[in-house]
Amino acid sequence: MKSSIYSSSKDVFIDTVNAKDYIQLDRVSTIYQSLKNSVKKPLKMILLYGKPGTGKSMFLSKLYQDLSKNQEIHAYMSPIIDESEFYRVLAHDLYGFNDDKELNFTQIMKINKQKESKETPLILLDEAQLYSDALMEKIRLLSDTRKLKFVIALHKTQTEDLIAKEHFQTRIWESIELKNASMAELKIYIQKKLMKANCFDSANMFSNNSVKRIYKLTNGNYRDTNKLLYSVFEIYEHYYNKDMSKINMDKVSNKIIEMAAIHTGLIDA
Amino acid sequence: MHNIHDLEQRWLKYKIKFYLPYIITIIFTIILSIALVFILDTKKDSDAILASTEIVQTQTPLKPIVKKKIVQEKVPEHIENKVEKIIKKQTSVENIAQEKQLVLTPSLDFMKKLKTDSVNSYQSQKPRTNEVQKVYEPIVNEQKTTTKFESIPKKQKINISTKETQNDIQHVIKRFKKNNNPTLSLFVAKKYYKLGDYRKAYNYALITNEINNEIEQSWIIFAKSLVKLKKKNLAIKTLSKYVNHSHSGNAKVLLDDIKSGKFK
Repeated sequence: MKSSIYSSSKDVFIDTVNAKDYIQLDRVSTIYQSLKNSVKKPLKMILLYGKPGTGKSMFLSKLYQDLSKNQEIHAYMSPIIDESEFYRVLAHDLYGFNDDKELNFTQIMKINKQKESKETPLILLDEAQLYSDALMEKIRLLSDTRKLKFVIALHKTQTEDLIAKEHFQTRIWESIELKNASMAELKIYIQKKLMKANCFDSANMFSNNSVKRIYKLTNGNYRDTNKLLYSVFEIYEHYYNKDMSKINMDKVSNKIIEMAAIHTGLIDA
Repeated sequence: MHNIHDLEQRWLKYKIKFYLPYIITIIFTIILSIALVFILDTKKDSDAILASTEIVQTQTPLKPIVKKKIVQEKVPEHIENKVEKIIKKQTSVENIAQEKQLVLTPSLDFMKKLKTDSVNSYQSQKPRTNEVQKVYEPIVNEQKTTTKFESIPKKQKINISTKETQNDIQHVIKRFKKNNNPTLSLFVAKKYYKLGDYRKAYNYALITNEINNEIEQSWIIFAKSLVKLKKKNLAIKTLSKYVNHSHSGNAKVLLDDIKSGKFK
Protein backbone atom coordinates (compact mmCIF):
# COMPACT_ATOMS: atom_id res chain seq x y z
CA MET A 1 0.00 0.00 0.00
CA LYS A 2 2.53 2.56 -1.21
CA SER A 3 -0.20 5.07 -1.79
CA SER A 4 -0.98 5.25 1.88
CA ILE A 5 2.73 5.71 2.58
CA TYR A 6 2.79 8.77 0.34
CA SER A 7 -0.41 9.93 1.92
CA SER A 8 0.88 9.54 5.47
CA SER A 9 4.22 11.07 4.43
CA LYS A 10 2.31 14.01 3.09
CA ASP A 11 0.44 14.42 6.39
CA VAL A 12 3.73 14.51 8.30
CA PHE A 13 4.48 17.85 6.74
CA ILE A 14 1.20 19.58 7.45
CA ASP A 15 2.30 22.86 8.95
CA THR A 16 0.94 22.82 12.49
CA VAL A 17 2.46 23.88 15.77
CA ASN A 18 2.35 20.82 17.92
CA ALA A 19 4.92 20.04 20.59
CA LYS A 20 4.59 16.36 19.73
CA ASP A 21 6.03 17.08 16.28
CA TYR A 22 9.11 18.77 17.74
CA ILE A 23 12.24 17.33 16.14
CA GLN A 24 15.38 17.27 18.18
CA LEU A 25 18.39 18.56 16.32
CA ASP A 26 21.72 19.16 18.06
CA ARG A 27 21.87 22.90 17.60
CA VAL A 28 18.16 23.39 18.24
CA SER A 29 18.33 21.27 21.39
CA THR A 30 21.18 23.40 22.72
CA ILE A 31 19.19 26.55 22.10
CA TYR A 32 16.12 25.04 23.69
CA GLN A 33 18.10 24.06 26.75
CA SER A 34 19.48 27.57 27.09
CA LEU A 35 15.92 28.92 26.86
CA LYS A 36 14.83 26.57 29.62
CA ASN A 37 17.73 27.69 31.78
CA SER A 38 16.92 31.32 31.15
CA VAL A 39 13.36 30.77 32.28
CA LYS A 40 14.62 29.51 35.64
CA LYS A 41 16.64 32.66 36.18
CA PRO A 42 15.02 35.72 37.78
CA LEU A 43 14.66 37.49 34.48
CA LYS A 44 11.80 39.80 33.68
CA MET A 45 11.73 39.26 29.94
CA ILE A 46 13.18 36.78 27.50
CA LEU A 47 13.21 37.57 23.84
CA LEU A 48 13.00 34.83 21.26
CA TYR A 49 13.47 36.08 17.74
CA GLY A 50 14.16 34.87 14.24
CA LYS A 51 12.83 34.88 10.73
CA PRO A 52 9.37 33.43 10.06
CA GLY A 53 9.47 29.66 9.89
CA THR A 54 12.53 29.18 12.07
CA GLY A 55 10.56 27.41 14.79
CA LYS A 56 9.74 30.11 17.36
CA SER A 57 6.16 28.97 17.82
CA MET A 58 7.30 25.37 18.07
CA PHE A 59 9.80 26.42 20.75
CA LEU A 60 7.11 28.15 22.79
CA SER A 61 4.81 25.20 22.35
CA LYS A 62 7.48 22.78 23.47
CA LEU A 63 8.40 25.01 26.40
CA TYR A 64 4.79 25.18 27.42
CA GLN A 65 4.44 21.42 27.23
CA ASP A 66 7.62 20.77 29.20
CA LEU A 67 7.11 23.38 31.96
CA SER A 68 3.36 23.30 32.44
CA LYS A 69 3.61 20.23 34.66
CA ASN A 70 5.85 21.93 37.22
CA GLN A 71 5.08 25.65 37.11
CA GLU A 72 2.40 28.13 36.27
CA ILE A 73 2.68 28.95 32.63
CA HIS A 74 0.32 30.60 30.16
CA ALA A 75 0.85 30.57 26.41
CA TYR A 76 -0.80 33.00 24.01
CA MET A 77 0.04 31.74 20.57
CA SER A 78 -2.31 34.16 18.83
CA PRO A 79 -1.80 37.78 19.69
CA ILE A 80 -4.54 39.59 21.63
CA ILE A 81 -4.46 42.88 19.88
CA ASP A 82 -7.10 44.68 21.94
CA GLU A 83 -5.54 46.09 25.09
CA SER A 84 -8.58 45.70 27.33
CA GLU A 85 -9.13 42.17 26.11
CA PHE A 86 -5.49 41.39 26.79
CA TYR A 87 -5.79 42.56 30.43
CA ARG A 88 -9.07 40.72 30.90
CA VAL A 89 -7.66 37.43 29.54
CA LEU A 90 -4.54 37.87 31.66
CA ALA A 91 -6.61 38.61 34.83
CA HIS A 92 -8.75 35.60 34.13
CA ASP A 93 -5.91 33.18 33.53
CA LEU A 94 -3.64 34.46 36.29
CA TYR A 95 -5.99 35.45 39.03
CA GLY A 96 -9.28 33.79 38.12
CA PHE A 97 -10.89 37.11 37.43
CA ASN A 98 -14.24 36.21 35.89
CA ASP A 99 -15.83 39.56 35.40
CA ASP A 100 -16.89 40.25 31.83
CA LYS A 101 -16.43 43.99 32.15
CA GLU A 102 -13.50 45.74 30.56
CA LEU A 103 -10.20 46.15 32.41
CA ASN A 104 -7.69 48.91 32.02
CA PHE A 105 -3.98 48.97 32.78
CA THR A 106 -4.43 50.58 36.21
CA GLN A 107 -6.85 47.88 37.25
CA ILE A 108 -4.61 45.01 36.11
CA MET A 109 -1.66 46.58 37.89
CA LYS A 110 -3.74 46.88 41.03
CA ILE A 111 -4.82 43.23 40.83
CA ASN A 112 -1.25 42.22 40.11
CA LYS A 113 0.07 44.00 43.21
CA GLN A 114 -2.58 42.52 45.46
CA LYS A 115 -1.81 38.94 44.41
CA GLU A 116 0.89 37.15 46.28
CA SER A 117 2.25 33.93 44.78
CA LYS A 118 5.19 31.67 45.59
CA GLU A 119 6.52 31.52 42.08
CA THR A 120 6.39 33.97 39.24
CA PRO A 121 3.98 32.87 36.51
CA LEU A 122 5.51 32.58 33.05
CA ILE A 123 3.63 34.16 30.17
CA LEU A 124 4.49 33.14 26.62
CA LEU A 125 3.54 35.61 23.90
CA ASP A 126 3.91 34.48 20.30
CA GLU A 127 3.80 36.84 17.32
CA ALA A 128 4.58 39.73 19.63
CA GLN A 129 5.44 41.95 16.69
CA LEU A 130 1.70 42.32 16.18
CA TYR A 131 1.21 43.97 19.58
CA SER A 132 1.05 47.74 19.51
CA ASP A 133 3.91 49.77 20.92
CA ALA A 134 1.63 51.05 23.66
CA LEU A 135 0.68 47.53 24.72
CA MET A 136 4.30 46.42 24.62
CA GLU A 137 5.12 49.31 26.91
CA LYS A 138 2.42 48.13 29.33
CA ILE A 139 3.78 44.58 29.19
CA ARG A 140 7.17 46.01 30.06
CA LEU A 141 5.66 47.78 33.08
CA LEU A 142 3.91 44.59 34.14
CA SER A 143 7.19 42.68 34.00
CA ASP A 144 8.79 45.46 36.10
CA THR A 145 6.56 44.45 39.00
CA ARG A 146 8.52 41.14 39.01
CA LYS A 147 5.26 39.38 39.59
CA LEU A 148 5.08 38.25 35.96
CA LYS A 149 7.74 36.84 33.66
CA PHE A 150 7.38 37.14 29.90
CA VAL A 151 8.82 35.16 27.04
CA ILE A 152 8.06 37.04 23.88
CA ALA A 153 8.63 35.63 20.41
CA LEU A 154 8.76 37.93 17.44
CA HIS A 155 10.20 38.34 13.97
CA LYS A 156 13.74 39.54 13.67
CA THR A 157 12.92 42.77 11.89
CA GLN A 158 10.64 43.78 14.70
CA THR A 159 13.26 42.76 17.22
CA GLU A 160 15.71 45.15 15.72
CA ASP A 161 13.19 47.94 16.24
CA LEU A 162 12.52 46.83 19.75
CA ILE A 163 16.13 46.44 20.72
CA ALA A 164 16.70 49.95 19.45
CA LYS A 165 14.37 51.23 22.11
CA GLU A 166 16.41 51.90 25.20
CA HIS A 167 13.76 51.02 27.73
CA PHE A 168 13.42 47.55 26.26
CA GLN A 169 17.10 47.06 25.96
CA THR A 170 17.56 47.48 29.70
CA ARG A 171 14.76 45.06 30.52
CA ILE A 172 15.49 42.25 28.15
CA TRP A 173 17.83 40.07 30.05
CA GLU A 174 18.10 37.31 27.60
CA SER A 175 17.63 37.22 23.85
CA ILE A 176 17.77 34.06 21.82
CA GLU A 177 17.93 33.97 18.07
CA LEU A 178 16.57 31.09 16.03
CA LYS A 179 18.02 30.44 12.59
CA ASN A 180 17.21 28.35 9.56
CA ALA A 181 18.55 24.81 9.44
CA SER A 182 21.82 23.94 7.76
CA MET A 183 21.77 21.38 4.96
CA ALA A 184 22.84 18.55 7.27
CA GLU A 185 20.26 19.61 9.85
CA LEU A 186 17.59 19.76 7.18
CA LYS A 187 18.27 16.20 6.12
CA ILE A 188 18.06 15.00 9.71
CA TYR A 189 14.91 17.06 10.22
CA ILE A 190 13.17 15.53 7.17
CA GLN A 191 14.21 11.98 7.92
CA LYS A 192 13.47 12.17 11.64
CA LYS A 193 10.08 13.67 10.94
CA LEU A 194 9.21 10.86 8.51
CA MET A 195 10.60 8.13 10.70
CA LYS A 196 8.65 9.45 13.65
CA ALA A 197 5.53 8.72 11.60
CA ASN A 198 6.89 5.29 10.58
CA CYS A 199 7.41 6.40 6.97
CA PHE A 200 10.77 4.68 6.64
CA ASP A 201 10.54 4.13 2.87
CA SER A 202 9.87 7.79 2.32
CA ALA A 203 12.69 8.77 4.66
CA ASN A 204 15.10 6.66 2.63
CA MET A 205 14.09 8.44 -0.55
CA PHE A 206 15.97 11.57 0.51
CA SER A 207 19.53 11.46 -0.71
CA ASN A 208 22.05 14.22 -0.15
CA ASN A 209 21.38 15.43 -3.66
CA SER A 210 17.65 15.82 -3.18
CA VAL A 211 18.14 17.47 0.24
CA LYS A 212 20.57 19.87 -1.39
CA ARG A 213 17.93 20.75 -3.93
CA ILE A 214 15.35 21.27 -1.19
CA TYR A 215 17.81 23.36 0.81
CA LYS A 216 18.45 25.58 -2.20
CA LEU A 217 14.76 26.19 -2.55
CA THR A 218 13.84 26.68 1.10
CA ASN A 219 17.13 27.98 2.46
CA GLY A 220 16.66 25.64 5.41
CA ASN A 221 13.46 27.29 6.54
CA TYR A 222 11.34 24.75 8.41
CA ARG A 223 7.99 26.14 7.37
CA ASP A 224 8.95 26.34 3.68
CA THR A 225 10.39 22.84 3.86
CA ASN A 226 7.17 21.51 5.35
CA LYS A 227 5.12 23.22 2.68
CA LEU A 228 7.38 21.95 -0.10
CA LEU A 229 7.49 18.38 1.11
CA TYR A 230 3.76 18.28 1.64
CA SER A 231 3.43 19.22 -2.01
CA VAL A 232 6.11 16.74 -3.09
CA PHE A 233 4.25 13.84 -1.50
CA GLU A 234 0.98 15.13 -2.86
CA ILE A 235 2.43 14.91 -6.38
CA TYR A 236 3.84 11.44 -5.62
CA GLU A 237 0.45 10.34 -4.43
CA HIS A 238 -1.14 11.66 -7.60
CA TYR A 239 1.34 9.90 -9.89
CA TYR A 240 1.07 6.73 -7.88
CA ASN A 241 -2.65 6.65 -8.45
CA LYS A 242 -2.66 7.86 -12.08
CA ASP A 243 0.64 7.04 -13.78
CA MET A 244 3.20 5.08 -11.80
CA SER A 245 5.69 5.03 -14.68
CA LYS A 246 6.43 8.68 -14.06
CA ILE A 247 7.87 8.19 -10.59
CA ASN A 248 10.95 6.62 -9.14
CA MET A 249 10.09 5.14 -5.78
CA ASP A 250 13.68 4.83 -4.64
CA LYS A 251 14.53 8.48 -4.54
CA VAL A 252 12.84 11.82 -4.73
CA SER A 253 13.22 13.19 -8.21
CA ASN A 254 14.38 16.74 -8.71
CA LYS A 255 11.62 17.22 -11.24
CA ILE A 256 8.95 16.57 -8.61
CA ILE A 257 10.75 18.78 -6.09
CA GLU A 258 10.78 21.57 -8.66
CA MET A 259 7.16 20.98 -9.57
CA ALA A 260 6.26 21.19 -5.89
CA ALA A 261 8.32 24.36 -5.57
CA ILE A 262 6.40 25.88 -8.48
CA HIS A 263 3.14 24.81 -6.89
CA THR A 264 4.02 26.33 -3.52
CA GLY A 265 5.45 29.49 -5.04
CA LEU A 266 9.06 28.86 -4.05
CA ILE A 267 9.90 28.93 -7.75
CA ASP A 268 8.40 31.71 -9.79
CA ALA A 269 7.56 30.02 -13.08
CA MET B 1 -3.30 17.96 -6.57
CA HIS B 2 -5.95 18.93 -9.06
CA ASN B 3 -4.07 20.22 -12.05
CA ILE B 4 -0.94 18.16 -12.40
CA HIS B 5 -0.85 18.62 -16.19
CA ASP B 6 -0.73 22.38 -15.81
CA LEU B 7 2.02 21.98 -13.21
CA GLU B 8 4.03 19.83 -15.62
CA GLN B 9 3.67 22.48 -18.29
CA ARG B 10 4.81 25.18 -15.90
CA TRP B 11 7.77 23.02 -14.88
CA LEU B 12 8.73 22.52 -18.54
CA LYS B 13 8.57 26.26 -19.17
CA TYR B 14 10.64 26.85 -16.06
CA LYS B 15 13.34 24.41 -17.23
CA ILE B 16 13.47 26.00 -20.68
CA LYS B 17 13.70 29.43 -19.06
CA PHE B 18 16.39 28.13 -16.73
CA TYR B 19 18.59 26.60 -19.43
CA LEU B 20 17.98 29.28 -22.08
CA PRO B 21 20.83 31.59 -21.01
CA TYR B 22 23.26 28.64 -21.01
CA ILE B 23 22.09 27.49 -24.45
CA ILE B 24 22.35 31.02 -25.83
CA THR B 25 25.83 31.41 -24.36
CA ILE B 26 26.99 28.09 -25.85
CA ILE B 27 25.51 28.88 -29.28
CA PHE B 28 27.00 32.37 -29.18
CA THR B 29 30.42 30.97 -28.25
CA ILE B 30 30.27 28.43 -31.08
CA ILE B 31 29.24 31.07 -33.62
CA LEU B 32 31.93 33.40 -32.36
CA SER B 33 34.65 30.78 -32.59
CA ILE B 34 33.54 29.74 -36.09
CA ALA B 35 33.55 33.37 -37.18
CA LEU B 36 36.97 33.86 -35.64
CA VAL B 37 38.38 30.83 -37.42
CA PHE B 38 36.85 32.01 -40.69
CA ILE B 39 38.26 35.53 -40.28
CA LEU B 40 41.72 34.24 -39.42
CA ASP B 41 41.60 31.85 -42.37
CA THR B 42 40.61 34.54 -44.87
CA LYS B 43 43.24 36.88 -43.46
CA LYS B 44 45.88 34.22 -43.91
CA ASP B 45 44.78 33.64 -47.49
CA SER B 46 44.77 37.33 -48.35
CA ASP B 47 48.27 37.69 -46.85
CA ALA B 48 49.49 34.81 -48.97
CA ILE B 49 47.94 36.30 -52.11
CA LEU B 50 49.51 39.68 -51.37
CA ALA B 51 52.91 38.07 -50.86
CA SER B 52 52.72 36.12 -54.13
CA THR B 53 51.53 39.13 -56.15
CA GLU B 54 54.45 41.16 -54.83
CA ILE B 55 56.86 38.57 -56.15
CA VAL B 56 55.19 38.44 -59.49
CA GLN B 57 55.25 42.21 -59.76
CA THR B 58 58.93 42.54 -59.00
CA GLN B 59 60.02 39.83 -61.40
CA THR B 60 58.47 38.96 -64.70
CA PRO B 61 60.43 35.92 -65.73
CA LEU B 62 57.90 34.44 -68.09
CA LYS B 63 57.71 37.46 -70.27
CA PRO B 64 60.47 36.20 -72.51
CA ILE B 65 58.40 33.17 -73.40
CA VAL B 66 55.52 35.36 -74.46
CA LYS B 67 57.81 37.49 -76.55
CA LYS B 68 59.29 34.38 -77.98
CA LYS B 69 55.98 33.35 -79.36
CA ILE B 70 55.25 36.72 -80.84
CA VAL B 71 58.63 37.34 -82.41
CA GLN B 72 59.40 34.27 -84.38
CA GLU B 73 61.82 33.42 -87.15
CA LYS B 74 64.84 35.33 -85.90
CA VAL B 75 68.39 34.87 -87.10
CA PRO B 76 69.86 31.62 -85.72
CA GLU B 77 73.43 32.92 -85.67
CA HIS B 78 72.55 35.11 -82.74
CA ILE B 79 72.10 32.11 -80.55
CA GLU B 80 75.78 31.31 -80.57
CA ASN B 81 76.84 34.88 -79.97
CA LYS B 82 74.35 35.40 -77.19
CA VAL B 83 75.25 32.23 -75.37
CA GLU B 84 78.89 33.12 -75.64
CA LYS B 85 78.07 36.46 -74.16
CA ILE B 86 76.31 34.85 -71.24
CA ILE B 87 79.21 32.59 -70.48
CA LYS B 88 81.71 35.40 -70.72
CA LYS B 89 79.71 37.46 -68.32
CA GLN B 90 79.29 34.61 -65.97
CA THR B 91 83.00 33.91 -65.86
CA SER B 92 83.60 37.53 -65.11
CA VAL B 93 81.40 37.39 -62.03
CA GLU B 94 83.72 37.33 -59.08
CA ASN B 95 81.57 36.37 -56.19
CA ILE B 96 80.35 32.98 -57.27
CA ALA B 97 80.77 31.44 -53.90
CA GLN B 98 78.62 28.38 -54.03
CA GLU B 99 80.45 25.56 -55.64
CA LYS B 100 77.89 23.02 -54.64
CA GLN B 101 75.18 22.68 -57.20
CA LEU B 102 71.54 22.42 -56.42
CA VAL B 103 70.25 19.00 -57.30
CA LEU B 104 66.54 18.68 -57.49
CA THR B 105 64.52 15.57 -57.38
CA PRO B 106 61.05 16.66 -58.35
CA SER B 107 58.33 15.11 -56.36
CA LEU B 108 54.86 16.16 -55.35
CA ASP B 109 55.95 16.36 -51.72
CA PHE B 110 58.17 19.28 -52.30
CA MET B 111 55.23 21.15 -53.80
CA LYS B 112 53.73 21.41 -50.35
CA LYS B 113 56.61 23.57 -49.32
CA LEU B 114 56.59 25.63 -52.45
CA LYS B 115 55.36 28.76 -50.79
CA THR B 116 58.04 28.88 -48.14
CA ASP B 117 60.75 27.60 -50.46
CA SER B 118 59.97 30.23 -52.99
CA VAL B 119 60.21 33.04 -50.50
CA ASN B 120 63.46 31.70 -49.07
CA SER B 121 65.07 31.10 -52.38
CA TYR B 122 63.95 34.46 -53.59
CA GLN B 123 65.44 36.15 -50.58
CA SER B 124 68.68 34.21 -50.79
CA GLN B 125 69.16 35.30 -54.36
CA LYS B 126 68.47 38.93 -53.72
CA PRO B 127 72.09 40.11 -53.35
CA ARG B 128 72.94 38.85 -56.82
CA THR B 129 70.05 40.43 -58.61
CA ASN B 130 72.18 43.06 -60.32
CA GLU B 131 74.49 40.52 -61.90
CA VAL B 132 71.65 38.27 -62.86
CA GLN B 133 69.77 41.08 -64.51
CA LYS B 134 72.81 42.14 -66.44
CA VAL B 135 73.28 38.64 -67.73
CA TYR B 136 69.69 37.92 -68.51
CA GLU B 137 68.76 40.91 -70.53
CA PRO B 138 70.42 39.36 -73.53
CA ILE B 139 68.98 35.96 -72.68
CA VAL B 140 65.51 37.42 -73.07
CA ASN B 141 66.45 38.29 -76.62
CA GLU B 142 68.14 34.97 -76.87
CA GLN B 143 64.85 33.32 -76.19
CA LYS B 144 63.31 35.18 -79.03
CA THR B 145 65.79 33.49 -81.29
CA THR B 146 65.08 30.09 -79.87
CA THR B 147 61.58 30.27 -81.17
CA LYS B 148 63.06 29.70 -84.54
CA PHE B 149 63.39 26.08 -83.57
CA GLU B 150 59.70 25.68 -83.24
CA SER B 151 59.67 24.58 -86.81
CA ILE B 152 62.35 21.96 -86.20
CA PRO B 153 60.60 19.89 -83.53
CA LYS B 154 57.69 19.47 -85.88
CA LYS B 155 59.51 16.42 -87.15
CA GLN B 156 59.50 15.01 -83.70
CA LYS B 157 55.92 15.19 -82.75
CA ILE B 158 55.51 13.96 -79.26
CA ASN B 159 52.48 12.27 -77.92
CA ILE B 160 52.00 12.94 -74.26
CA SER B 161 51.09 9.67 -72.81
CA THR B 162 49.39 10.64 -69.57
CA LYS B 163 47.15 13.52 -68.86
CA GLU B 164 48.25 13.49 -65.28
CA THR B 165 51.82 14.50 -66.25
CA GLN B 166 50.55 17.40 -68.31
CA ASN B 167 48.37 18.46 -65.45
CA ASP B 168 51.31 18.22 -63.10
CA ILE B 169 53.41 20.40 -65.37
CA GLN B 170 50.61 22.94 -65.79
CA HIS B 171 50.16 23.02 -62.06
CA VAL B 172 53.86 23.53 -61.48
CA ILE B 173 53.97 26.24 -64.16
CA LYS B 174 51.11 27.94 -62.41
CA ARG B 175 52.99 27.77 -59.13
CA PHE B 176 56.13 28.99 -60.80
CA LYS B 177 54.30 31.98 -62.26
CA LYS B 178 53.19 32.80 -58.76
CA ASN B 179 56.45 32.55 -56.89
CA ASN B 180 59.20 32.47 -59.53
CA ASN B 181 61.02 29.63 -57.88
CA PRO B 182 63.89 28.34 -60.08
CA THR B 183 63.48 24.81 -58.73
CA LEU B 184 60.03 24.79 -60.26
CA SER B 185 61.16 26.00 -63.66
CA LEU B 186 63.93 23.39 -63.59
CA PHE B 187 61.37 20.77 -62.73
CA VAL B 188 59.27 21.88 -65.69
CA ALA B 189 62.33 21.84 -67.95
CA LYS B 190 63.15 18.29 -66.87
CA LYS B 191 59.57 17.18 -67.35
CA TYR B 192 59.39 18.65 -70.84
CA TYR B 193 62.69 17.07 -71.68
CA LYS B 194 61.41 13.70 -70.54
CA LEU B 195 58.28 14.19 -72.59
CA GLY B 196 60.39 15.03 -75.60
CA ASP B 197 59.30 18.63 -75.87
CA TYR B 198 62.89 19.86 -76.17
CA ARG B 199 62.00 23.37 -77.24
CA LYS B 200 60.05 23.92 -74.03
CA ALA B 201 62.68 22.09 -72.04
CA TYR B 202 65.29 24.44 -73.53
CA ASN B 203 63.18 27.49 -72.71
CA TYR B 204 62.57 26.50 -69.10
CA ALA B 205 66.23 25.58 -68.61
CA LEU B 206 67.06 29.04 -69.90
CA ILE B 207 64.52 30.64 -67.57
CA THR B 208 65.97 28.71 -64.66
CA ASN B 209 69.37 29.96 -65.66
CA GLU B 210 68.10 33.51 -65.71
CA ILE B 211 66.96 33.25 -62.14
CA ASN B 212 69.92 31.29 -60.85
CA ASN B 213 72.87 30.54 -63.11
CA GLU B 214 74.52 28.26 -60.57
CA ILE B 215 72.18 25.32 -61.02
CA GLU B 216 74.10 22.54 -62.75
CA GLN B 217 70.99 20.70 -63.86
CA SER B 218 69.68 23.71 -65.75
CA TRP B 219 72.93 23.76 -67.79
CA ILE B 220 72.71 20.04 -68.42
CA ILE B 221 69.08 20.16 -69.57
CA PHE B 222 69.93 23.24 -71.60
CA ALA B 223 72.78 21.45 -73.38
CA LYS B 224 70.85 18.22 -73.83
CA SER B 225 67.92 20.15 -75.33
CA LEU B 226 70.28 21.92 -77.71
CA VAL B 227 71.62 18.57 -78.88
CA LYS B 228 68.10 17.29 -79.36
CA LEU B 229 67.29 20.46 -81.27
CA LYS B 230 70.20 19.64 -83.64
CA LYS B 231 72.46 22.28 -82.16
CA LYS B 232 75.20 19.97 -81.09
CA ASN B 233 78.02 22.48 -81.66
CA LEU B 234 76.35 25.14 -79.64
CA ALA B 235 75.66 22.61 -76.91
CA ILE B 236 79.34 21.58 -76.84
CA LYS B 237 80.48 25.19 -76.74
CA THR B 238 78.11 26.19 -74.01
CA LEU B 239 78.78 23.14 -71.92
CA SER B 240 82.54 23.29 -72.25
CA LYS B 241 82.52 26.90 -71.06
CA TYR B 242 80.36 25.95 -68.15
CA VAL B 243 82.67 23.03 -67.33
CA ASN B 244 85.68 25.34 -67.41
CA HIS B 245 83.94 27.70 -65.08
CA SER B 246 82.33 25.30 -62.65
CA HIS B 247 84.37 22.12 -62.99
CA SER B 248 81.14 20.19 -62.77
CA GLY B 249 81.64 16.43 -63.06
CA ASN B 250 78.22 15.72 -64.48
CA ALA B 251 78.57 18.46 -67.06
CA LYS B 252 81.97 17.09 -68.04
CA VAL B 253 80.60 13.56 -68.52
CA LEU B 254 77.77 14.93 -70.64
CA LEU B 255 80.19 17.02 -72.66
CA ASP B 256 82.29 13.96 -73.38
CA ASP B 257 79.20 11.98 -74.32
CA ILE B 258 78.06 14.67 -76.72
CA LYS B 259 81.49 15.02 -78.23
CA SER B 260 81.86 11.24 -78.69
CA GLY B 261 78.36 10.99 -80.11
CA LYS B 262 77.26 8.79 -77.28
CA PHE B 263 74.58 11.29 -76.53
CA LYS B 264 72.50 12.14 -79.52
